[in-house]
Amino acid sequence: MPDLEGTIFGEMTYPGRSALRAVRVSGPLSRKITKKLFFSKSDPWKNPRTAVSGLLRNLEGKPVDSILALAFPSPNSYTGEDCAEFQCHGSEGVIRGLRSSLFALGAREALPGEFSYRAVLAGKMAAEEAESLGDLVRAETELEACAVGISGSGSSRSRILALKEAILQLRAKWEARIDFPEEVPQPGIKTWKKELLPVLKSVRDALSLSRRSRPVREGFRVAIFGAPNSGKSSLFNCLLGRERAIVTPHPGTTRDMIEEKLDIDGIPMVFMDMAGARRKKPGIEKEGILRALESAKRADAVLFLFDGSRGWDAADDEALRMLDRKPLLFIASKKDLYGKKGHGAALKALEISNRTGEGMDGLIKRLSEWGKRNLPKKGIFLMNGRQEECLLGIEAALAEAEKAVTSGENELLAAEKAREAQREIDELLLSASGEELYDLIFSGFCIGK
Amino acid sequence: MRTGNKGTKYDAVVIGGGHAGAEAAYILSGMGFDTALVTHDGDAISRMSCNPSIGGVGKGHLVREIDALGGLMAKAADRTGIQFRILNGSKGAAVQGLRCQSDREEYSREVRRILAGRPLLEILQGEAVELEVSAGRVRGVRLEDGRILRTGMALITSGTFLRAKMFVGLEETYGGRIGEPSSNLLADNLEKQGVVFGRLKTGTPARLARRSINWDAAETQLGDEVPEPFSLFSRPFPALPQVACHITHTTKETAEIVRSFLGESPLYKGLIRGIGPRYCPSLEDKVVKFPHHERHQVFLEPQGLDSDEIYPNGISTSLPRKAQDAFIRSIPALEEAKVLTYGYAVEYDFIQPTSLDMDLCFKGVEGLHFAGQIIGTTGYEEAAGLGLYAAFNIGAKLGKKDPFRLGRHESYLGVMVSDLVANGVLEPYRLFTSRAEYRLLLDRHSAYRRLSGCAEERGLIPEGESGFRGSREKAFDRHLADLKTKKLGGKGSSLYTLLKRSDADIPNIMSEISLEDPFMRAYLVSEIKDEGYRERQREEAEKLAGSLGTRIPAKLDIKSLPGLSREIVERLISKKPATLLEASRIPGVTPSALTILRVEIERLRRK
Ligand SMILES: Nc1nc2c(ncn2[C@@H]2O[C@H](COP(=O)(O)OP(=O)(O)O)[C@@H](O)[C@H]2O)c(=O)[nH]1
Ligand SMILES: [Mg+2]
Repeated sequence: MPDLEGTIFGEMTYPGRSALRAVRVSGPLSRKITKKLFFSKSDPWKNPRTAVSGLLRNLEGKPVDSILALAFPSPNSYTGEDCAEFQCHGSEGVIRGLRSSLFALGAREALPGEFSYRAVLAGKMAAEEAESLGDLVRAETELEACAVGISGSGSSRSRILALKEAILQLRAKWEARIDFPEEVPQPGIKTWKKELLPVLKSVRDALSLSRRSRPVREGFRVAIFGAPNSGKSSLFNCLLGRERAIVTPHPGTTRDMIEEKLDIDGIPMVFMDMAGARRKKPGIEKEGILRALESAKRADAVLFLFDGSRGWDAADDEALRMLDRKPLLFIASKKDLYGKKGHGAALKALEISNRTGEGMDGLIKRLSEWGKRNLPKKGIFLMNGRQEECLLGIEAALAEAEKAVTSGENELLAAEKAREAQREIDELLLSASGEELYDLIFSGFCIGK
Repeated sequence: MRTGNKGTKYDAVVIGGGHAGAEAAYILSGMGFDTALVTHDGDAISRMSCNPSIGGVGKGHLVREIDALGGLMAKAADRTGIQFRILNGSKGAAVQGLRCQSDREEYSREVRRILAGRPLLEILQGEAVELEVSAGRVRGVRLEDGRILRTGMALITSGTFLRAKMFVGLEETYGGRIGEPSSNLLADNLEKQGVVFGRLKTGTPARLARRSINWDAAETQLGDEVPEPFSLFSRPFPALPQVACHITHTTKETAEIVRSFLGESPLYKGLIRGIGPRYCPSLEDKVVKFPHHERHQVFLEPQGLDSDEIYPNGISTSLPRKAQDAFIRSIPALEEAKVLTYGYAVEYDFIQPTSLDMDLCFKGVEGLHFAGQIIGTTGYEEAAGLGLYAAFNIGAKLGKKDPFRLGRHESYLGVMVSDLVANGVLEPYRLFTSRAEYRLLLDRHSAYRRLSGCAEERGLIPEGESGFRGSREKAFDRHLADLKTKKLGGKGSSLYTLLKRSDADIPNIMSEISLEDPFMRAYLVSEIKDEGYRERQREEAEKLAGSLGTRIPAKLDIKSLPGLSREIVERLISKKPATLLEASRIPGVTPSALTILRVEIERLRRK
């Protein structure tokens, strides 16, 4: 449970997802941490709420990444406390290093929902508004499933309930043996292991299903990729229905990456607009292109744009080679300029106009068909971060139980770990099960002399 | 005690001489208070009304804790035990339970001997019929013969005696034990004070004549070769000769006989309304609920060294006498068994422990305490523990000291009290180790380290033994240090490191340090083996205690909180938890509800 005084940190982006990864720090140590880890000519704390570029250093003072830092002095921050944000490159190593530096400087990893929790405390947010707190209160995740129009085989909640039942049954067997050694048969530790393994397996199955179901919750990630000036930012804006990205006739306008979540026929998708791909990279654009390639590589799908009025050319070839994966769709843009005599046909490209909106319905249809095809087949399993955290906790506890029964030394330790697993699943379901264990024990075993 | 014209004056009066009452009287008088113990029958003090055995898994832990806290049960059991066994020997050290067979008569006599050694304790034979209460405070206790005991502190430990009703078949009689009357006047009077009673039920089997049993047909069960006492300070030990016990089992025929008599079962005819414990079912229940079990174990426990009585544990019943005769004879070894006393069920009044505060004081009347079976528990050990706990708190009030509290990670006694007071009971409550969240911390070896300080402060540790307790822990530390520095054959890893391995050759490693005491050896091994797990449980417990210790301010308007379900709001309002910890113990109060409460409390604090 949160101790309210400490300094906490947490990643704001999803690990392994984006080219850009941001870590937020909140609490009294934020200034000290910035001073120690961020090196720049200008001090972000003197330019609050502004991105300041500089170098991220490790504890030995060695630079490890060029990053952006933002400072939000109290009380004008998300949590009401001093907050700092570090935007780094998506390298796992950099993030891992940053985490351990933060930890060494006295901050700790935030618990799920803790930023919001602090925000609520500071009166920055009503409890009902806080998304993560809201998650705590409303565990009916299958609502989300209904919202995207999928009927899975069994809802997420019933899957969790089945898991809870399995854990309780396991504990009932084990605890009956421990508390009633004279009345209940006492099989060897091998039996304990045999009883544990299927439960552990179903927890792991649930976890992997949850991972595969993630697009349903967070959206499929769709990269809009292509050579400069092919109309990527225009398409992005067109899909959004507003001028979110800057569009100019000059190649190389988009340098950083922007993304927005959209509902495509009920399926959540995150579209990413990015720098146009070209090899001869003028200085500042270089970074942006690297990030674009990284994101496109990790995306669930890539839309490859080329200027249909000009036709496919060497720049498009170059961009395609750089991409190094098969796009979902080729799109010939600017159809309003070339009319019927399009260049798209040869590539089976979809012809659209960002200006008139022509072909947009077709694009949406193709996207939604693709999305539906790629939803998890064997039902879906939706969990928010907090719930997945619990499931991971269950997995860890049962894995330790397995270790205890495998080493063959101590049934009690295994039972303690099973208890931990139950506590996690109670937490997941936001329910306490006290007497249920004994109901199972006394209905399953003839206890009592 | 001071006698005046308005009656005799005592600091505290304990009503009921069972296991709870005896323990409470012993503690109160030991703390220097003038104490009266009122009992129907001075010879029946600490009588074992159920099976002649003390301890078990969880219960054995409790007895060790009672010893650490300066109570009497462990020593009385050690001096009168005729077979000692450790249960769960092959499982983790923390759930190994000590259990003994007792000489039933000797046990009661030993407790009376111990109580006789308390000059401030007066045992009064009689029946308490009325509490004198004015202005919401206890002023005295009136006995049936008109005597008045003036006191501000009453502790009722009347066990199953309030409005007790016994059943043998469809026959009903009033009484708490065979030949002992029930207490109805006191029950009526307590109701006048606002106490609300519920009904519970328990039962016993028939008692059999030892000589009528064919012992050759039963399996023999011996005690441990090196028996471990409940109190590590019992000398000499064991005090009595040790005997074997025997086990037999019911048969298909037994089940058939029982089934054929269900029509005459007060339980199945609906005469008994009280709820019995599921972990102590009657044979009728076993046969009905587990029809696929062909046999049920029957433990043939001697009532004493010289007693002719055998307690057949496992076949408690309230069927009519002819049914008891018939089914007993269908059990191997009991074909010719002669019944000395028939089994019966007893139904009695109890008070929901939720109407008590953490001192075990009734919330409606200052100074009116309850402990033992009357607050919904079963078992001698549970009763004794509660008697001791209530006495500590009465003592605290008399001495104007801080109340006595035990955390759930500190003792089984703490687990039991908080379970009872926070949740109440649906069936008679028995302690299981699984009820404790942090049971690795509650092993029997460390009980003295955990708890002896509390007894020491109150002057409850007998002279001589006090230094002994301290030196035991010092010896432990010394041996631990030895194990950390010494190496097997002088080279390689330390003995301590070797012990932690799962395939450690424990006897060989331990032989490297000079240590004779087998219990100290077990203590060391258990501490070292699970150290990592134990540490983690300790951290978790402390973290929880820290965040959940927060008090819930009275001005917090629970109804106005967003996000709480109506059900949770109702429970919080009716149970009025004082802290988040107490709130978390209320069934149905979820972690998210706690989060919402915490947020609101913090917000109020900042205002
Ligand atoms: N006529 C026409 N012009 C377009 C269309 N899409 C983009 N443009 C123009 O092409 C230029 C480059 O567009 P932009 O979206 O910035 O391309 P990006 O570099 O790929 O992001 C701008 O001048 C746009 O106005 C289209 O569908 N029709
Ligand atoms: Mg652009």
